[in-house]
Amino acid sequence: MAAAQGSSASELRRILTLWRNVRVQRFVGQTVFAAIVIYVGYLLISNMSGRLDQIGLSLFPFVDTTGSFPFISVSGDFLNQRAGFDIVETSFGYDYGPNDSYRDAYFTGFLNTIRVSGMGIVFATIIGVFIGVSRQSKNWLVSHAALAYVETFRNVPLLLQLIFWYVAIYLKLPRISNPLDLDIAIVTNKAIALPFVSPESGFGIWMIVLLAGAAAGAAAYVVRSRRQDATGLPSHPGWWALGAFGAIGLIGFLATGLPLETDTPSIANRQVIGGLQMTPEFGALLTGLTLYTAAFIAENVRGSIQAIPKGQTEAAAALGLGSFQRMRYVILPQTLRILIPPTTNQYLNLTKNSSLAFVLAFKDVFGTGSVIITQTGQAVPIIALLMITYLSLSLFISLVMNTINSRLKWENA
Amino acid sequence: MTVAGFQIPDRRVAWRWARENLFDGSWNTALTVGMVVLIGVALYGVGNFVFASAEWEAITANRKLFFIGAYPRDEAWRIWAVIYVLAGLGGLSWALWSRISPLLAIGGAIAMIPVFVFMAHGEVALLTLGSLAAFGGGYAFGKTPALSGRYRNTARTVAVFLWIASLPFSWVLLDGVPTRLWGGLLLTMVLTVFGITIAFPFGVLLALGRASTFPVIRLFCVGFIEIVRGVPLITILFMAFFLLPLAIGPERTILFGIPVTGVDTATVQRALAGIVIFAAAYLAEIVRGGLQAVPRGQTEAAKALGLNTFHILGFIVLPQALRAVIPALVGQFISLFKDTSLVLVLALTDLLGAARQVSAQPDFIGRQAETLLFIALIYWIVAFNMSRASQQIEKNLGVGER
Amino acid sequence: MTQDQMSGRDGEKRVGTRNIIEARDVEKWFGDFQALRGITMSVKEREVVVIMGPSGSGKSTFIRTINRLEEHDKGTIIVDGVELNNDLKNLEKIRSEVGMVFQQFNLFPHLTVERNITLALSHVRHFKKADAHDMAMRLLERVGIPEQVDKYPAQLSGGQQQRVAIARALAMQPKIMLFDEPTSALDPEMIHEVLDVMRELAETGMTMIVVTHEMGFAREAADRFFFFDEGVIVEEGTPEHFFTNPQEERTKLFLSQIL
Ligand SMILES: Nc1ncnc2c1ncn2[C@@H]1O[C@H](COP(=O)(O)OP(=O)(O)O)[C@@H](O)[C@H]1O
Ligand SMILES: [Mg+2]
Repeated sequence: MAAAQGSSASELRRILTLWRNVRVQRFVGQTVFAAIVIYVGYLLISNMSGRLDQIGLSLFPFVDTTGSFPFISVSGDFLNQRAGFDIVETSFGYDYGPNDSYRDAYFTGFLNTIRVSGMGIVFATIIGVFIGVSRQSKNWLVSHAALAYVETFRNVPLLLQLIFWYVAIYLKLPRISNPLDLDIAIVTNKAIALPFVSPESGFGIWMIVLLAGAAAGAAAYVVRSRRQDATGLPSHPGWWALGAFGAIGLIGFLATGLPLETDTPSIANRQVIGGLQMTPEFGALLTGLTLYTAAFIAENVRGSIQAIPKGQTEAAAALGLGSFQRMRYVILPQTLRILIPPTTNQYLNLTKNSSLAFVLAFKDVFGTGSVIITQTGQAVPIIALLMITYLSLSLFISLVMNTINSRLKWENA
Repeated sequence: MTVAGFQIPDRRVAWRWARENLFDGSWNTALTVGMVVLIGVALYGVGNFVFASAEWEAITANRKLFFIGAYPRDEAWRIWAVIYVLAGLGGLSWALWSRISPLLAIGGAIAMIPVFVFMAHGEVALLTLGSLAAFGGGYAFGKTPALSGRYRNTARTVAVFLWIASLPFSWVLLDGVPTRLWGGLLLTMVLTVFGITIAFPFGVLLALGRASTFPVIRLFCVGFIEIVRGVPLITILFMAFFLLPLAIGPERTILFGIPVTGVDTATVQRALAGIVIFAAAYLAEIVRGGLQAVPRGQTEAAKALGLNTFHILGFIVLPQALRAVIPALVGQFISLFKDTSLVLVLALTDLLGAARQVSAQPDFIGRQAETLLFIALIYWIVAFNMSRASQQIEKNLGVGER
Repeated sequence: MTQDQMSGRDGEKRVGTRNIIEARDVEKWFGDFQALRGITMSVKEREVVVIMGPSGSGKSTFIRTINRLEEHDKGTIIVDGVELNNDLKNLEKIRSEVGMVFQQFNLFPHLTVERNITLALSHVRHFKKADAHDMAMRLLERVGIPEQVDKYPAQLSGGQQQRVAIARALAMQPKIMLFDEPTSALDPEMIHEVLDVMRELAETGMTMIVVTHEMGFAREAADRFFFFDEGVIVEEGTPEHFFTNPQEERTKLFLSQIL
């Protein structure tokens, strides 16, 4: 009797100690957590699917639970249906019309997103670096003008700025019936057009010549750097490379009989034709995204220049390096290392922010997606698709920037 | 050598300052001349617009719309009550935590003058002045010998609880009017303040989860944070708008096996839900930064004292972590304040929405520049002053009791 | 009496007779604060001068005016016959003739030890790459760490970093070396390895101005001694004079605190 009691008491103690055991706690805790997450997720999804059923839609239109493995039915794929809406502006020469499918429409929007984000990233970087360096200027007016720029643009919502550029600037440009003809450009509120070039016969050959020029430039670079190493004389490999490429390109251009023709824009039938054109929607989006992001990049630039200890400049100066050399060999390489991660963030922000194109009726991927939602009612798959699209873009930009960052090894100064 | 513009004592020093900062060498002089021309042209353009070509009638005729949207005039007392309570609490806190220079408040007030000139008229002016009085009253109360002396810590604790309580109080009070009528700066502020405060606890939990040693929990938190941060806010707002009613809508909702009547989510609440999801992910990353900034030695010392995990988190790690990230939290507040303008796409009439509505009015068609610049000024004043405040806090945190 | 008698060292090294540095009535303001209040000091060829003084007394500011990291506001400074003024040509010449070693090392963290040393050789002196490399190796051997040539500064100990910094300055073959508290940021066990290098350098006849509070080094290597306080030279003389018979109260007080 006493023994039995003792054993059940020790049994109890064993269970109690089991409960105090860290590993048991971890296991139980995580299982409970997972169970709750799965259950809540199940509830939300089943609610959604129940409601969608009532209005004749499926939560997972690509999944055919009645079929066989892998349960993906392409036949019921609404993305193959005719879109029926037009997208005025397309990118990279992609051809789209209202008779194409929703899938084509979505892809057109995707390309538009890439074009505006890509151009925005390039321009925002240029302006941001310029403003950020100006912030450090010894000239009081310059540094404070740059400060005013930064404080103005980053403290006002981007959406407001976009709308401002669109309705208060681009749409206020002269009407097409009364265009502003600047000889080099045509400015109207339907489009801004700059002269451009279009390929002529001989263009293909010239491209090959250009490739050869690039190879020659690379060779010149190598030869001149070797010479600098061997003799110590400053041999300017960069300039030589550029010179070789430019010279060969120019000779090739003349030899192939001027394979480019200037394409001057003109107006006919109340339309701007020819040249390099930009619609007010795209213009406003690009201007807004660029100027807004540039303010943030400028702050990053300033911060990373300031993060380099003063001793670095002093030590370089004490060695007799001139101000350009101090910048090029000592400050810049260190600055870049600090600058790239926050700038990557700004590139990601710019790309995500390009979805505000929605408000300007510029059909980027989000705008196209929202049209598809209103036309088909398929909110769930389209929102999921949009999320996947943006996540992939974010991932891609991060990968590219990380690669650049790890390539920038310290020693390649 | 820098002599700030307003400290210049006499002509000679001014001249020396100008020589060193503006005309130091021929290149610099050319730069200065160029900048003067550029700034002159810009100022002329702006001045010409503001004083000559702009018609500010569009704004003065729509004062109410900009501030409270369609909120009925008869019910405006609710808003005033909230403002008075918050102003009083603000004054009290300012007195109790006298770390931020009062200059900041004065600067902010001065910055608001242009808005005030436009917006305040008649009783609104009086009521606004009244809120300043409430602020002053709160300040004076906080400065009474008892509160600034012996009971200071008690008073601080009470103030924190009052702040927390003021949020549901404000909501209930404002909710006497259906949310679909809320608008203008009121809606912008509600979305920002409620968005960030509701998101805050979730953000802390997500950050702790991400730092957890439990792989399942960590995976969930990392997934949530990275997905939300990887997509635009607008997609999250769309998700809240389209999917929320499907998931927890009014008719048939089952929670833990019990059928309950779901919530009828109006657009404002859906937008708020989207903003909370969005803000929680960003706050989580900020808090995570703070957690990483707490030296390991702190946790180890606490463990050595025999504190358990919750005590270590609550008393040692989180206070230090959150303190370190106060400036970043203010930064997040500012960017959320700007980002709430995206609810425009859900057809809500926040400050930006109000501006769009005004430029659609028949009387003011084509007056977009005026309305947009005006609300830009409001956004700017709030955001700029908050970022200045956060810089102050950052400075104070650096040298303060650490 | 000659310098040799004063320093009491064997006649290997001879302090020259020509003044290689001449500073007269040098004054320097930072805003309204006057950091140097009329410093007059001349340094002969191959002479080793030690400067001591309390923190904030203007020691760093003074030696930084000698290679024009700080511009002086009044007075004249002549280095190797070249007067320091706003002429860029002079500046280049001076900077490559005067080497400097900093308290915080100031090595370039993004460059290897070798590139730290050869950077200025390639871009200022236009050395061939191979020659620059040889020079770097020779100097690293001289400071005793040839095996560290491919490392980055962060991978070295403080003493090693400071020795690389000395090698880097020596690579430009300067006529004058300035040391601003070169051992103040080092752990005690690393101080001697840096001081050894400096002592050898002094013996080879390098002109040196050293700001330091290392009494052992000062006693052994210094030819002349200056005590700074509040931007003026309070006392100057031989090491013996300082260690046995300081005149000024401020000097006595200071020495009693650090000895
Ligand atoms: N860049 C500067 N700006 C303002 N004051 C400075 C600057 N550099 C040095 N000072 C001041 O000049 C005085 C002398 O400084 P320093 O030469 O560094 O002294 P030491 O090296 O003897 O410790 C100190 O009071 C210091 O605060
Ligand atoms: Mg010093």
